[in-house]
Amino acid sequence: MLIYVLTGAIKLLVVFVLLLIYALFMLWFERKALGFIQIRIGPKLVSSGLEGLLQPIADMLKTLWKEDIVPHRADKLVFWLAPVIGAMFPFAAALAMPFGPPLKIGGSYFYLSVVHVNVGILYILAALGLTSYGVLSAGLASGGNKYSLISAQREVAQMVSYEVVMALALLNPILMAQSLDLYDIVAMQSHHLWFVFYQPVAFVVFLICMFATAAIVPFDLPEAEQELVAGFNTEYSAMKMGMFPFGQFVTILVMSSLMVIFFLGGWTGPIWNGHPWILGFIWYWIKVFFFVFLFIWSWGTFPRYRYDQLMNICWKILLPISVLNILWTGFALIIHIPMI
Amino acid sequence: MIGIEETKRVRINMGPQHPATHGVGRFILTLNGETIEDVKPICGYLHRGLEKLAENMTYQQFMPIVDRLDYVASMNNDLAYCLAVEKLLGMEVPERAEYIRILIAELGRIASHLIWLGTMALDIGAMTPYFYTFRDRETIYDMFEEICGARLMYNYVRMGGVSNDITPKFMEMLKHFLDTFPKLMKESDGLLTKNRIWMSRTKDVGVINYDDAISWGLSGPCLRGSGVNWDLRKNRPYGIYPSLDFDIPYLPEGDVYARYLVRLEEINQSVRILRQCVKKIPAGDYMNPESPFVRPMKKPKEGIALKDFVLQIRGVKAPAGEVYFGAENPKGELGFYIVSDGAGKPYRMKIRTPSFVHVFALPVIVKGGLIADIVSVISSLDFVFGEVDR
Repeated sequence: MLIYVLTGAIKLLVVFVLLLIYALFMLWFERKALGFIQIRIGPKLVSSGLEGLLQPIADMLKTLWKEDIVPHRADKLVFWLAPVIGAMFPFAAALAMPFGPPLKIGGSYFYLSVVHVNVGILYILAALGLTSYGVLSAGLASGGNKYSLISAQREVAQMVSYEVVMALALLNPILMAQSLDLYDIVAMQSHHLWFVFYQPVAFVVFLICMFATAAIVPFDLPEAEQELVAGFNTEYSAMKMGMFPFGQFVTILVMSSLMVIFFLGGWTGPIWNGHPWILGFIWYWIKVFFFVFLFIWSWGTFPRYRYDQLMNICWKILLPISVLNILWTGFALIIHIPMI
Repeated sequence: MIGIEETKRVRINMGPQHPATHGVGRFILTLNGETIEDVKPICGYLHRGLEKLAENMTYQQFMPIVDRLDYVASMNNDLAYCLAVEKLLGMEVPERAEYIRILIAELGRIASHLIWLGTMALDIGAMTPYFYTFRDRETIYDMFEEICGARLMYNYVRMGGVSNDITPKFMEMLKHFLDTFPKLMKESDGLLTKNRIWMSRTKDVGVINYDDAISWGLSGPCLRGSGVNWDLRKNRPYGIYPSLDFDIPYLPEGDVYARYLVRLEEINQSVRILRQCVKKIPAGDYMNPESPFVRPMKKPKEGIALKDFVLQIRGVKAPAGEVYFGAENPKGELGFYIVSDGAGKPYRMKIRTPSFVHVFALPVIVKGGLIADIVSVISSLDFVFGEVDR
């Protein structure tokens, strides 16, 4: 019993530190990649030998030393809680996320996630769903700022629209693998083709929802800098404001890993599959970082949708498609169409 | 059943500090949810009293101030003002100067449209075209720097010609620009024009029909986006425009997308005009030597300091009368109405700016739209607050 508690605690610490480093890396990577897309250099002056790699640390120190302003009319407790919620729940979701293929030590498996629960996907979806409360309460607690209020309203509209569709899209691989365990879903794909070949429709639907969940450019409606002056962020300053992007970056990571696990075979590769262990690890992170880059790519490419258009897309197009897709998957499973 | 009938309207103050109002515009929006029920534009945050200033200045003293009207297309402002004063005084301009004027006016039009394209894309959420268009605008500003030394407030066009001749280096830069620019333009074009998201954000948004566009006094690309084939370069031609071959794009839809396409096509037509000018530009004077505005100091044979002094203090006496001249600026019709009582200063000067008219047509155009729509409509009307508030 003690050994479980101890390994759990160590894993928690390691994952927390890794996620912090990842978020700082993303701050740099995002700006550098956008700079590449937008024919400019990106951060360069801080640690110019390392292509400005230490810029995020300078940014973080600056953010920490800024004056923390709380609006006079703000609901102090909720105003303080909102960024904590916004950053904490993506971290919580990342606890069940696999960081690589399971290590086989002796007869038993060592899982590279802080917790290995057999309903992992349910837990992750629940934690990500709660993230929206960060934006929602930030908007409502900002002392009657109308831009923040509209932002909170948009966040709710957006969440209600994409959550349903996203869950329905994920239901197809779950039905095919007959399990809610992320490791089982990957194991299923290592014996057959990747699920993206069986479920192309669900793949596309989930790809769209991925951007909506992370609130990245075609769907960054709550933030919408040119319309709502950064919406829920408006009244925040100092580190409270810095916590929202941290949460967003971790959401991006979790969504990318879900995408890889559910549709692209997790740590199974097209060649050199399985052995040794490190190959699976490398395959996994190549795929995950491709999707992380995809987020930034889309950021630098697309204009923004209007929020009524997002709701139209989700409710009128994606939802019927997803339902039909599930009906087909269920039908195919009942009549036992053999999987390749 | 409490409060269901009591839906309240939200009034939101958009500006003067807002990223999408393109300057210090202020709009008071009345919202029902996110639907806009009313817009009240408020102007005056950049008011400098230019029309009153003009009454106390000689015609040539007012030149640099004209630059401050539409500060992203200063060359075109200079040209419009000079043409108005020349019309009042009945002055002649050498042919080479006419060609130089058209060259820089069309370059100014491209620069202004590039800023519009970048900011409009930014307002609708696409960050990247902004950087592409500003790269191209930079080459145009480098060219302007080459001919007159200034990058934003040129004061280059003068009554009777232009302040100095264009250099061979400028012609080289221009030829290089004409070779590379259409290809570079395809980058932003490819990111936006056929983009589904872009089309859904701009099509059937902010529609103003043919009759409304005329009765609200729109001009320039906004008017042509509503299907009116009206361009002062064709309809009331000035300079050497009649001798040039170019088309006026116009589209009947009247929405943001139509205005977008019209402006993109105008950039192409400007490139076409520039190509013709580069081929046809003659040698000769860049300034009419008989122009009364040329200071005697600069004419070596008449080096009399007193005349110079008199010109500086009293200005050039214009014949009494009144004159209106409207030029086709990138934003629309920029008109100068000058009343002269025979003195060296205008008795009254009215500046008809396109942006001022467009701002007050905004409530008609966006009513019933969403907050996201007002942002795209503002950027598609393309107003500059230096012009609105004067």
